[in-house]
Amino acid sequence: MTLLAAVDAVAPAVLAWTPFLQPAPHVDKWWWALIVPTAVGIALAYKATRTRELVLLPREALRMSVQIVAAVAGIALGLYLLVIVLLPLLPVE
Amino acid sequence: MAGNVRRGLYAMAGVLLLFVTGVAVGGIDCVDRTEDRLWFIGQAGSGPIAFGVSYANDALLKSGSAAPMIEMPPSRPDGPKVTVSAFKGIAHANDFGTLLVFLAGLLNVCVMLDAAVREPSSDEPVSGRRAGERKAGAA
Repeated sequence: MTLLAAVDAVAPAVLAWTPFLQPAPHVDKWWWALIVPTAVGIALAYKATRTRELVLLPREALRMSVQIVAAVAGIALGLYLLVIVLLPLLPVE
Repeated sequence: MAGNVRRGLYAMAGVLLLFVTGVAVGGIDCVDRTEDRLWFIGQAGSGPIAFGVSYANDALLKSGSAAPMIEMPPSRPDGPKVTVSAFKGIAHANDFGTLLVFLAGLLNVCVMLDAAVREPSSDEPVSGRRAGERKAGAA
């Protein structure tokens, strides 16, 4: 039911979207997911210049993509703990 | 394949993934050589496609041919009247679209610098069974 409600809320904007001419709809809700194509694109282009054996390039690019996503997720978790958990524990003057 | 063709295809796939994702997320408004000149300097590293998207932005959005123009509230009470396209990207969509196309441009510059100094036949394996076959064939 919740999923159907979410689809109902998003469907009109998606169906009315003209790709490339208009900005993608509801980016403010899923902007964080853009780290995946960003990491894959950076890893593919970077590894294409750095890998000696092209046979290994897809595997190395995949590994670098996972490393980038994991590092960003780790930073996000660390900042969450700092700002939401630790800072409120500090004594107030 | 001869030369560095396969290597170049992989690099192109990475750069184009960033560029196309950026334009899909932010719309063609995220490449703008007049309003976002500093960003465009980096985006221009992608090559002619960046100039093409900027031209499409001028021809389709800023001219008002793709969507109606909307009057914006003036920044000052006596400021000039400003109108923008109804398809203009704002907030997260514009931010991430601009950033992704910018990254594509920077990486393409890195790829061009690498191509300028790379040996012509570096697609060939440098070690392992296939390298041995190549050496035997050459001898």
